[in-house]
Amino acid sequence: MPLLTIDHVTVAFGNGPRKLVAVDDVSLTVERGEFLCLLGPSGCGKSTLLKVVSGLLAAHSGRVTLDTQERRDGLESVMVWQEPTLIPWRRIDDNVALSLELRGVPRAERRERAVEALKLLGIADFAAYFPRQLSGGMRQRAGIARALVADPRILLMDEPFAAVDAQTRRILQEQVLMLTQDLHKTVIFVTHSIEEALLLGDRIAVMSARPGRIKALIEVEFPRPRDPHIVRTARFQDLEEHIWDLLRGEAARAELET
Amino acid sequence: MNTPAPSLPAAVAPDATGAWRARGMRMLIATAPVAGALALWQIAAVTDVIDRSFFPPPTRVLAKLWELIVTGQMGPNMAVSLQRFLLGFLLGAVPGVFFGLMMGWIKAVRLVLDPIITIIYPIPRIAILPLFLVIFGLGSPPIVAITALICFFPAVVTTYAGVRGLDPNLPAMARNIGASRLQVMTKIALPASLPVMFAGLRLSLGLALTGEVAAEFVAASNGVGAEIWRSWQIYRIDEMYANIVAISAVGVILSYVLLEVQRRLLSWDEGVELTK
Repeated sequence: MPLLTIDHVTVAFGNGPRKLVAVDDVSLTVERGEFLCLLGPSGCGKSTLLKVVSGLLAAHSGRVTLDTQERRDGLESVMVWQEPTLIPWRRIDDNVALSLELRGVPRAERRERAVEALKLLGIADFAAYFPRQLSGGMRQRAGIARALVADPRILLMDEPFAAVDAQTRRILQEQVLMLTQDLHKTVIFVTHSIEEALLLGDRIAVMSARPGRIKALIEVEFPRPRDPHIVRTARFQDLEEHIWDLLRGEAARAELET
Repeated sequence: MNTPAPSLPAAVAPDATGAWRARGMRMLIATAPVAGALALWQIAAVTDVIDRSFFPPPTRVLAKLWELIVTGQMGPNMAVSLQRFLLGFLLGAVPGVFFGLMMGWIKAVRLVLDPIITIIYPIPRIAILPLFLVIFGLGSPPIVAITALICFFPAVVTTYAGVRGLDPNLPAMARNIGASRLQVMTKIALPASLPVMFAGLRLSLGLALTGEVAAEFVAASNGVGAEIWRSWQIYRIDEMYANIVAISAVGVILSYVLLEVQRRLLSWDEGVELTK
């Protein structure tokens, strides 16, 4: 049984003639340790689908089931948000260890585990800083560290690099690639960047413009552990072109609608 | 990626004497106008340019204040005024903060209280004093009641605004990471509304002290406000000034204490420096 099963999920907002179908009859499965990318034009419902998986939003119909036979402590799913969403009055380590604090873990252990996670992202030196003292990229790293500390069954990432500059973005992509490979995390990653999806994903679910449906499921053939330099290979660029062909019409449609 | 800079390089670090000089300069600029005005007043009063019976020179006011303190007249009056004020502040600001939080967090409370507060808010609270005199009689109870009433509104309105101004993503984030509803309140909503809440408390403090003194004019025979009123009636102008100075000093000190508490509690908040 796959770790996560999304079964005929439909999400709609509003009623009557103004009813807006954001996600239309989507079915997907995610295996343990898999990195699945949800790729689509803006407004295609990919973030909405992620919110349904996380339980932040209820589906109109259909269901999401998580296989919980394998017993473990901790949370089922945790979100990495588009904005870092750090608490401004808390030091970085106290932000990162929030999930432990909520579970009543003592402070010394909390900070220790926060620093471990911050080390993985290369910002352990900033543990005692406040969020406003950090750059956008570092804040986003802290947001990722917070999700790692919470150690969920499944990590949900909602365009986590959309708000950082191009170079930082590249560095963060490489970091997430290495981290998720090393830690064998199950991840659903929402993005509108084809390159990002190809670099990070084991599979890519390409979504159509609203109402969001799965238009194609693409297996990404690049072996793991993956080297970030694959983006320069001809095969990568071919795949990028192929996906763009799938998406071009959808992106144009999405733009006309908004 | 930037590396942390625990200490500034020597070249840009301000040398100690320079820093002190800059600080001294700021103090001078801040105090000079006040000192100048007092000096002018003093000179004008002793040279009879202004009428000394209305505007006694500052030195005489200070001498009078000192006299009131050492003869033991000031102490009991100040004590009773402070007692009324602090009790009123407590009885007004604490429920104000409480209801402000409840309005922000619980929709039902908001729906009930919002229209009531909107209607009562524009009424000048001091206008209700005669009603309190009818209910409580003369003395401390009506003064405490009017002080509490004056404190309540700024506290409730600003606390409510503080909760409403919360970044809506933070509660969602906390919930997602395992926080209970109660934990969202104690760990996110409450600390997030503290800066605005403190701004409301400072506003309350100033207004309430004014109300307390004004209430003492008519409703009490003791207290600094009553003393100010009495010295006017019996035409002891320097005594009136001395009492005004005393109660003003109390206002400045209380406001400073509150600001200091806020600064310690909210060192993370950039706005704290700006509001000083």
